Amino acid sequence: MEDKQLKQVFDQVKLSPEREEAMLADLLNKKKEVSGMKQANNRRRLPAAALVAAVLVVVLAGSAIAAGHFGRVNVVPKDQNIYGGAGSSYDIYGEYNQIPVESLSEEVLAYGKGLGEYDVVDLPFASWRECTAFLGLDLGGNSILEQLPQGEGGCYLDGERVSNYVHVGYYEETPVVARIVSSYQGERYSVDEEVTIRTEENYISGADTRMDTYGKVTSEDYVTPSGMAVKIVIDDMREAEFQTIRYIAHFSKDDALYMLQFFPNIESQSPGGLDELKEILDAYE
Amino acid sequence: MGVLTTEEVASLYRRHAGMVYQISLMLLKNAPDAEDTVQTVFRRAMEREEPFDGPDHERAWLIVTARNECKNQLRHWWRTKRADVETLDNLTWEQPGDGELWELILTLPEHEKMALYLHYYQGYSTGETADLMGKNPSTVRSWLCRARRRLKDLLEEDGEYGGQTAETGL
Repeated sequence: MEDKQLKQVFDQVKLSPEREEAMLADLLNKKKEVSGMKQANNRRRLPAAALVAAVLVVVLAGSAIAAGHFGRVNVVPKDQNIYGGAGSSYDIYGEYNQIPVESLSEEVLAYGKGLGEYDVVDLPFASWRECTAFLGLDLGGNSILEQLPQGEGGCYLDGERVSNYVHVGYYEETPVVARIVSSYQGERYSVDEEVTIRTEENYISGADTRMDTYGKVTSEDYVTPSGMAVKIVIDDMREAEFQTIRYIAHFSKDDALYMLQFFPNIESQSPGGLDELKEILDAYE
Repeated sequence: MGVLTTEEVASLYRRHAGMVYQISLMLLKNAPDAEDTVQTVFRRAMEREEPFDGPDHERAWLIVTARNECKNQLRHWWRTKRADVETLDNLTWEQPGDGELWELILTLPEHEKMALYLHYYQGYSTGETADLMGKNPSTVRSWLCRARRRLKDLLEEDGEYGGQTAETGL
């Protein structure tokens, strides 16, 4: 490998001219908005009562999805989306224990050696079971999901589409978070499952995960026959560009935080989608 | 608001958005997060109360701010959007081997790929790279050496691209 090969590669890593201009326009629009707000603030200070009312509006909007047994789920108003784009998002606060670093496999610990201060590793596996074996964790499986063919979710690693992968985040060579992502394809739906564990070396406070939503959002609490409390967020995107409903189930189990994204096939958009998701939830060991 | 006018912000952006995006994508491995980082870095530049001392200063400031912002993103790991098809579809390669080399660069430790980028692509000397990364020049030289060795090993593991490395003698 010559220096010119490195240069050639980096030369090709770029935004399209259209995307770059769109981002610049967005940046300059925000500059105008902020300038406008500053000028308004200089003209007149809001009375304290108005500020209290504004805060209450935000809090009430946030409670549109109420807290459940599983943990707090909060909808962040559109203009507080951390990514700055249109749409909403919500945070998930899970109630689950952080595990000792030593309970992870030697292999996971070894991958951290030589990494930077903050770094991540993504590794593909053939199945969800292989992912848990790599991490050295004994997580109960799901008898329905494990019977399904692998799906098109997951991600690209080394140019290959993978349906199962492990993502490990390290701080100063110590694993602080691990996530197993698996994708399944049923006849009438597809499911993406994410299982997150945090180690005792993870001192980051606040929400566990933030999810973006794209349609009208409602929620439902569900308790499986085994007593597992699940918060199901329903993102009705039929009027948005996606033309589908997405059900997102959140629950904690075995010191791990689970998230299932359930997508009914577009051609079989039936109210039965939620029932099928619940059948899957009931099938967790 | 900062000292830069709208025209100055646009000019700064057009000169350096590509570099900030390259750093962000290399460190975060995720196009949506990289785009967000670009916007955050330039918003910070817009908020600066002091003008830049010159072209070198503004470039160095953007590099350091981009790197710090990426570290913040990685620290708040949960904020990182999940990798998807579009992440790779945004990049097109002149030759298949270019895409493979990029994927291998992404697997390097953060400090090694950052040093590699600043030295071999941006043309900073090892001393300047060390200044930007807050390390000794000797440390940076060892990172560069290790990074190239790792890339060589990884390329040799890769059958298709391995033939090319033999030709270039790395």
